[in-house]
Amino acid sequence: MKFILFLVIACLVLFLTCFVIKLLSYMKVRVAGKKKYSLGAVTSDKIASSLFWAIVGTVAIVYCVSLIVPLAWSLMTAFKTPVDYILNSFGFPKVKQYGLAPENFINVLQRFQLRQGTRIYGLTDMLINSLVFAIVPSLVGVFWMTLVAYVMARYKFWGNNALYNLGIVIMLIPIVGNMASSMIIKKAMGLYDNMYVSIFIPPATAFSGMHFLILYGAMKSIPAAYSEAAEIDGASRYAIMFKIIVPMVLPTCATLFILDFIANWNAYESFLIWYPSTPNIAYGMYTFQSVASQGSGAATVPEILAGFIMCMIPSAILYLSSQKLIQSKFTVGGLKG
Amino acid sequence: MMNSVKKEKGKRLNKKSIDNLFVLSVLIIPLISFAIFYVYVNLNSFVLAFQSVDIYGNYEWVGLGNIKEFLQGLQGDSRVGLSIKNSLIYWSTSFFISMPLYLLFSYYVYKKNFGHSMFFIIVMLPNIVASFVYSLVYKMFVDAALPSFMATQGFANFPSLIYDDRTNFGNNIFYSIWLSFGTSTLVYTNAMRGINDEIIESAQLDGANNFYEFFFVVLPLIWPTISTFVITGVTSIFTASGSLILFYNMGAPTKLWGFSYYITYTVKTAMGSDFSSYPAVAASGLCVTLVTLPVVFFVKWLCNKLDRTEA
Repeated sequence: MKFILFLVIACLVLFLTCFVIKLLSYMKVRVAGKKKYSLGAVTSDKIASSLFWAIVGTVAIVYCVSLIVPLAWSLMTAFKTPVDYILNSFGFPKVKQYGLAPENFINVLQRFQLRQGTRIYGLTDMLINSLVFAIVPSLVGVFWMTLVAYVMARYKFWGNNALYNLGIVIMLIPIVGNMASSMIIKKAMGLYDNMYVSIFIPPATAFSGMHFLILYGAMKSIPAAYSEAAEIDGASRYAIMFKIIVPMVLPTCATLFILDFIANWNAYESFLIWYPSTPNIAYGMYTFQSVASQGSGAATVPEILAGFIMCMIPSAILYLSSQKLIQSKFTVGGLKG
Repeated sequence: MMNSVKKEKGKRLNKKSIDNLFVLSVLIIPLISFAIFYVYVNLNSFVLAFQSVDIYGNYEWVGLGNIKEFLQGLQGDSRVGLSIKNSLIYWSTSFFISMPLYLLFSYYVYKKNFGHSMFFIIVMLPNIVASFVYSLVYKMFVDAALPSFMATQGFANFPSLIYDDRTNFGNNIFYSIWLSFGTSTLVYTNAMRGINDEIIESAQLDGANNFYEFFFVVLPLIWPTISTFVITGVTSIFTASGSLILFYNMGAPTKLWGFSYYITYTVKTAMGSDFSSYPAVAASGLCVTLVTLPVVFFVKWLCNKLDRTEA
């Protein structure tokens, strides 16, 4: 009950802080070129507005804290000894009584394996699969979408408008229940459970989707003068595409590649359904924790959480290092047509 | 003179032909991929809806048999009917609870209120950290740490929110709302930042308070962005997978199933070899698609009608 009381008091303090800060911002006036606080500037409207923003601010900050708490808990639990965790699963590590266990990070790497039938996949196997699945389909997808966006944006040909509109329509059509058909066809083609071939297949709808629309917009914005000048100089169409226009949209391509890389690095459903024999780290960790949590003795909870912390690192580094680039590209317009 | 005109015409035709050949050379492979993995897959799914498959892989035409079975299942308490109902509930909470909150929090960040920078970074944590890791951390926190902590606070029999029958549905809904803020907040905030400052200043000079500004200035101006999310949300009512697979793998209680989980479960448990349950999946998917398709186009029409940005 003490903790709940503490929570209520903390929320009240937060609410009052937000309220006072907002009210003070309304009270700021300029008198003879100097900023002053004036009670006269406060109207009932502004008090109501401050109350409203204080409520929103409190909810927003409480939400942020709720996002951080599980991560913080997993980070401190990853350093606990097994005994410390059993006796104290929620609190801070009791360093004086039980010490810290940084070896959890090494132990989980040694124990991290996935058993599929008679085959055992170790960390190296899964790491290679993760890298291949994160890099190759992302490159293949961005490559083909860039080329398709280039010809559709910069060339007039029969069927161009129809293809563009088809791409928009495909985004709108809610195709449901075709997984069964997809499984039958991929099995017949030998693509089921065949990751190292499937990853080279171009995306089925390279002329549709948000990524295509972003690339299309980027291609459209490049003046025709660049292509015309190159054509006059005798450059071939392929040279104009690869050496002049595509390099201009490389930042956009890089952003989309990073987003696809992060998504593919963290993909586990694809391996659960389509590639069970070539597990990546995400699928391996997902299955490993499921088995270990059932008390199989494969790993302790602190070790599993240490594994999770390490799984977070690659995508976190990649995202944070390209954060500005990603956020600048994330504008969404309307679906006209 | 006639010869030089003919030569020029030939050159123009040549250039056009070369352009077309170039375009074809670029588009041929993506179009083949589209033909096989989109057109053929969906045509095959359509045909499969009217067939049955035995365990030896022999196909037989059954007409509307699968569809009748699906419709009868909707009336009873079948997995399909329950999964469709749950998908609608999950979407409704996303639309009526999450979307207003995304807009409100985005407006809070846009107006640079207290803590807005911190909020903008932290709300992206699930995107930074990997959502599957976040989900598994949440699962372990809620399943192991939280009951033990609540016991110290006097709640001795605090249930596991994920596995307890009384709390798992609510937990599922809470989780889907809780983790969904990242990308939406980013996109809405960017859209709001794209509004011309003069419009906002002009509204403030006319005496508009925050309430008026939000509902009558900001929302209409970012309506194209909102409508995109509304339309894509309706499109994905029955295809969104949620967190069931992460929490339960293939062992989710039936009462939590969404339609996407039902399909994944059926396809996965057949292990890619026994296709006898696939026609039922194809038939239910076809029926759901036929119902959702006009709804999507109606919603798109409505969103375009309500768009004041071009007025």
